Amino acid sequence: MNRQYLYSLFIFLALLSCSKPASNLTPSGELSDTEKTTISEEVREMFTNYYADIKKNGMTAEFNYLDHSPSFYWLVPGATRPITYAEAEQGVNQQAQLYASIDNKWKSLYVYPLKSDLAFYTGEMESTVTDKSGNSSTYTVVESGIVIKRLDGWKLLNGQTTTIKAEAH
Amino acid sequence: MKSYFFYLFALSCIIIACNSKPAEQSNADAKATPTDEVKNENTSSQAKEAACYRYFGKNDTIYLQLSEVYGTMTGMLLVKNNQKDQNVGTLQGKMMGDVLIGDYSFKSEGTMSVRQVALKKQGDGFIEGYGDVSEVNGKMVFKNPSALKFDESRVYAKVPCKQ
Repeated sequence: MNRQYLYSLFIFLALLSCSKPASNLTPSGELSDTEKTTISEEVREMFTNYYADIKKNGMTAEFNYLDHSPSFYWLVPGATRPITYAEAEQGVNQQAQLYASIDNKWKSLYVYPLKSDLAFYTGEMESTVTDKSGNSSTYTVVESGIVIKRLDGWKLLNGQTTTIKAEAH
Repeated sequence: MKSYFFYLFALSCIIIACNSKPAEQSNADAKATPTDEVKNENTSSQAKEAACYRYFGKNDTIYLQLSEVYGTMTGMLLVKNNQKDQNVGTLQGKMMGDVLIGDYSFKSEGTMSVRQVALKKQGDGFIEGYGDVSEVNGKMVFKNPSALKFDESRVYAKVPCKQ
C-alpha cells in the first residue's frame, strides 16, 4: 500500500515537473526562421512599393495597399476614434486634391511576423508632402500597425499613427 | 510483474506529459502570437529593441510588445478573453514618470474602439491601472489619471520576445 502511494506520488510529481510553466504560453514556433525572414522581406518590399507608388502616382495609389475589408481601421493623428476604410478612402481622395506629391521614408522599421499571413510593424517615418502651390512640409511620425497577406499581397489592416514633429519648409 | 507494469505505466504517463503542450498553449498557437522580431536593416534607427510582457489570468491572457520609437512607446497588445474573440490592437503612448499612458486602438466584436491604458512599471514588468473613465469624442479616457489604482495582482511579467 505504501509502495503504491509512493508510486502515485512519484507520478504526480513527475507530471507536475514536466508541465510547462504558465509563462510559456505564447509562441508559437509555428514560423521557422526562414518564414519569418521571408515575411519581413515581403512586408518591407510592400512598403517600398507602396511609397514608390504614391510618390509616382499620387495619394490615391494608397488604396492598393489598404485592406479593403470591414476589418480595416486606423487611428490617424489627432483622431479620437479609428476611421473605417470608407472614411480613409474619403480622406485620401480629399488630400489627393490638395497635395502634388508625397514622399515617405522609414527612418526605422521593425517587422514582427505573427503568422504566415499576419505581421506587426512599428517604426519612425518621415513624410514630406508638397501641396499644389509648391509648399512642402515634413512630418515625423511613429506608426504601428498590423499587415495582412491577401491574394494580391500584403495590406495595411489596422494601426495608428502619431505625429511627432512637423516642419514647414 | 505487477510492479513492472506499474513502472511502465508511470513512464508512459511521464513521456506523454512531457511531450504534450498545455491546453492554453495549443489555443495560443492557433491564434496570432508574436514570434520574434526581424530587425530593421535601415539606417539611423531611433527605435529600441522590443520588450515583451505577458499576463495570465483566469479569464484573460494579455501579451504586450513594446518598443520605444522617437520617445514614443509603441507596440501591440493582444488580448485573449475566454468569453470573447481574441483581439489584437496597437498601442502608442508616453512614459509619464514610471507610468505609461497610451491609447490602445482595437476592434472587439465588430466595434472599433480607442481607450486609454495606464501601465505602471513594477520591477521588470508592468501593472495595469484602473480608474473612472469617460467618453470624450468616442475615446474612453481616464477622468483623473493621477487617481488611478494599480492592480498588483495583474502583473505583466517581462518575457523573452523570442521563444
